[in-house]
Amino acid sequence: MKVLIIDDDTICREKLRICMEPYATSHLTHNGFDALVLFRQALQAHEPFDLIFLDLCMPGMEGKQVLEQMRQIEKELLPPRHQSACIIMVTATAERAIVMECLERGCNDYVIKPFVPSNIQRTLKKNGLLPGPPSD
Amino acid sequence: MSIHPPASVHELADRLHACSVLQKPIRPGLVKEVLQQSAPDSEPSAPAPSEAEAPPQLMNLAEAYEEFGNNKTIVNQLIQQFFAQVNDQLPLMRKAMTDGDLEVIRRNAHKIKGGSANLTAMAVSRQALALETAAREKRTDDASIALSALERHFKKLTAWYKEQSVE
Repeated sequence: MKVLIIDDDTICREKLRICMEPYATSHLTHNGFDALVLFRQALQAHEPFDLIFLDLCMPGMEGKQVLEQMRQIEKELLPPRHQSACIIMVTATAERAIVMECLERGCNDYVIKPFVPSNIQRTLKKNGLLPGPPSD
Repeated sequence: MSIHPPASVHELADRLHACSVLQKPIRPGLVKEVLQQSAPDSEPSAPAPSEAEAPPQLMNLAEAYEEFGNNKTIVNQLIQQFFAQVNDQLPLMRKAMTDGDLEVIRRNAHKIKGGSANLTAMAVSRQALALETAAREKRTDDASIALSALERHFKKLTAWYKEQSVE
């Protein structure tokens, strides 16, 4: 599995990388601009990311904008019948309106900060990225 | 529990027909509280005084190590980075308080809240949450009190961590 972790907070980035260590190769970035470049390059190289952890609240470009642009890039570059990336928003606010808006804009799920590793595993199982029922 | 989910999380839980919300990181006292709330027919029992009155821990290093895959080197590096970051942020927030710039305070408090919670430094996280809330609601006097409390708790935390490192 190929994962992209986007968060301006070093601690959160590192925690997610460690959570994903047994399952995936993680690429880390601290802002949305760099994330979009990496995302596009991966698609152009036919090695797209399977999973994206995207922080909702970042300086410069917010997670919602990054999400929207990623889905737009996929429309341009993702070959037909290929699966789009699973995008999981990472949020400390969990405001209903914002979460609903992100779901409408094409994110697959969200996790609330601060999280623990089992929380990430459960979300991955729920989205079919790890085997087993989410309640494990 | 030092961080409570906003009302909106409960709204989401209602929508999903969940019985209750258990906000992570999970603490034993909170599980008991949620279980009691989810069983309205049972006789409510008062929490033990030690649980009800226990202040949040400065930091739970064992738990932090576990959450970071028992990689102590990385955890200790992240703690040092976090301390350096907060040492830069506190004077900025103090100046912002003097300037009446509550947005700068809110942003920095939000970052400290998240970083400290991820490192299990729940006392600091709780104070950062109080500061973030006061700044968002433009309660300047409360924000000033919360900032002073955050500074005190952070000082305690760094002193405690230094002691742990010496031991």
